Amino acid sequence: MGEYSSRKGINSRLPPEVNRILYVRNLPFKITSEELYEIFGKYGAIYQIRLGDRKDTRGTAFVVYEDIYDAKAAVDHLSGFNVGGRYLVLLYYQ
Amino acid sequence: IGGDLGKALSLEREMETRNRPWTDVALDAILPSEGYSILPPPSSYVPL
Repeated sequence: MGEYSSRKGINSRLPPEVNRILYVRNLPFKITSEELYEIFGKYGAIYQIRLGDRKDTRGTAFVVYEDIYDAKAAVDHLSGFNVGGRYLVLLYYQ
Repeated sequence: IGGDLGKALSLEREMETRNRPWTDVALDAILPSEGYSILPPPSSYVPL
């Protein structure tokens, strides 16, 4: 198990806006499924990824985690992460 | 059940609902399918 999931034991209360769906912006247009699962899979099991495939949605994606603590770990660690020369923007999807 | 035990239990219930297993139907209701395509996980992907 990744060391990030080890603190799942702490059932600290999570703020209401934290949830398991992350809206990601500023992705390189030619990012692949392998790269996305590699980057986001480090923080926990991924249920689904939807990648924008139109002019107005390209460079954005929805990453759905199985576990809310993993989603929070991903946001905490991947915000501003450099992928292909672009800095990732991660938001909890409301 | 008052005090800490009550709080812990209600917190656990809350986290259970916020962490309940996904269903495709529930997700389709939340996420746009127009303009987005669901990526097949790579064969090499092993969930943590």
